[in-house]
Amino acid sequence: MPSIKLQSSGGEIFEVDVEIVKQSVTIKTILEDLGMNDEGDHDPVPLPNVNAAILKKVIQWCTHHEDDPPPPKVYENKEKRTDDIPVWDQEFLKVDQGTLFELNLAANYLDIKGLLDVTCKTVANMVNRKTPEEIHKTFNLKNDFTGPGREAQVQQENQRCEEK
Amino acid sequence: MELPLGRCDDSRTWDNDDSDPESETDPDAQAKAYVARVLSPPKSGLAFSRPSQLSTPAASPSASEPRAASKVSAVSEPGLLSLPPELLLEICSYLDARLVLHVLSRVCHALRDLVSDHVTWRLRALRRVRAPYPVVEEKNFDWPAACIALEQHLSRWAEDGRWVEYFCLADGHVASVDSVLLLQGGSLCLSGSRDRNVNLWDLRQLGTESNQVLVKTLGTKRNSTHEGWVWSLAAQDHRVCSGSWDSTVKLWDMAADGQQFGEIKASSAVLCLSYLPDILVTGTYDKKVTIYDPRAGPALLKHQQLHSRPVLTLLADDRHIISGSEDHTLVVVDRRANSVLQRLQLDSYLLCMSYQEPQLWAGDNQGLLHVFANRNGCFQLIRSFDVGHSFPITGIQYSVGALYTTSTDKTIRVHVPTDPPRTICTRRHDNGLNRVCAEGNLVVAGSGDLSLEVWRLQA
Repeated sequence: MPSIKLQSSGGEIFEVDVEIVKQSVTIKTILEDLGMNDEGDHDPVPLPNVNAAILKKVIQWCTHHEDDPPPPKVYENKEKRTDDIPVWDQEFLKVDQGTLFELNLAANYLDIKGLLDVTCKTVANMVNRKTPEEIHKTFNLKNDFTGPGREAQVQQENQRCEEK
Repeated sequence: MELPLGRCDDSRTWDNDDSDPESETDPDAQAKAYVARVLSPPKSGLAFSRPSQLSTPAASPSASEPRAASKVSAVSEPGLLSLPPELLLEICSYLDARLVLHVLSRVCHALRDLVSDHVTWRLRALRRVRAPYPVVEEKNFDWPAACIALEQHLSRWAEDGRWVEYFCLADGHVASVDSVLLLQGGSLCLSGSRDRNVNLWDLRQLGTESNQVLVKTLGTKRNSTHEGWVWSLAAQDHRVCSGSWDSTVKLWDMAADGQQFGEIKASSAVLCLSYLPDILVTGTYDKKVTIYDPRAGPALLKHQQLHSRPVLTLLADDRHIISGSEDHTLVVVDRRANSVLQRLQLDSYLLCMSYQEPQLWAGDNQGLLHVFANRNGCFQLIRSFDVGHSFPITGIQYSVGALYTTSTDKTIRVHVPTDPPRTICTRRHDNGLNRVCAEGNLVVAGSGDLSLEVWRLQA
């Protein structure tokens, strides 16, 4: 089985099956553009936006999902749901927030729809049904509506929006 | 003001003069004959060519990148705000629109800027509907509200209406139900029928233990509310009026237990009504549009023969009175100037209308929908659509997030008001469906086989 070399931002090289890594549309396009589909030794494909740790996890995800059917055509007929994340992915994404966001960014950059969907859904689940205060706490965000007066003003504005 | 009409159906040997044959005949027979003719299916060989799909192109997504892109500052360690806007919006697309609008905007400035940008909502709405929307472009379109309305409509009718409760109320009338009206946010319903009655229903009782949905029949007469078919209903606040083939309009006060508080003797069968705080307008069989003051009398203010055939559908607001007639025209009267503003000639005649400024949606006798836009006080035909009804469209209700149509083809269709409308659910019935009304989480339609059809949606 032909394999390809990927180089992370730090310079580390990973050798992966071509078929597995083609789940990334970005990499697939690079391979086609550079004519690296045929046999032979090629230079590694540089991925300056992805560090080694994340690249390793991405490869792990792609390996597990190698035999997945291709994602359906774009036309969205049904509602977007967040309760249908496969169990393996749920376990895979039980990581610290930093890693979760890095995986999200990597999936976006590498254009891996399946990984992008599950990471977005996971973050959405963390936001869902929470109040602003709870969201501050969960994501360690600063409430930059300065001062108690400003916060009250913002609350009032939103109150009026809700009443409409 | 007489109008010589260019187009007239020669096949009709029907009169165009003003003599009133109806004074001699039985109103029910007259009603039956007329209605059968007006609601007859279109002649074969529709000369309808699909309108060229010259939909105004929606701005391409790349051209309308949210400006918030520059505002998210780089954070050293990856946090939620380190994600680029397109990823944050992707995550938001999995969240309920109301949570995004009201909760996320209170978290911090960056998120607030992201979600209060109308471009964000426009992109979100267009991704959900995947078709040009709205049908009529307008400045200052309220995208967040539209998004919320659309998503609610789509989720209510999701999976082909799996979560919709259906009720068939067949114990109230003994003849076809031809008009329906919802009151008080959908908790009360009025139905007008060929059995000459107007019934009041309490829809909050649906599915409860007692299940006593039918409250009463309006009127004190033992047998019937009117002396002819009840063909139109309209409400202003807690006051309701019913128009009938017996040439009267009766006014009822729902706050006084449905007591009658007034009556208008019209010149002929009242086919359509519009009830506003300051005027009550009737469209009648004798081609007239008449304006009354409902507060004093009611007193007749003005009547005009605006058409050369019966007036089938009517709409009024504080600026215009819009009437559609069997004479294939749509007439717009400017109330302030007190004169006819426009006379639009159509290929068919309109049977029902629904107006939410600036879009006027109408159904015609050939099963087509037409959209008119109110541009600077002037109405223009923007689009015509074939949504699958091949028979006359008897009822239409349009709102920013939802579109309902009923037809004598025995279906009620639920659509998203895009260009062209996307039908998300169709319900078939054993008989023609007449009129549709939707309010709150209730949708009702009258049916030709005596029943009031009710669909209750998730709140």
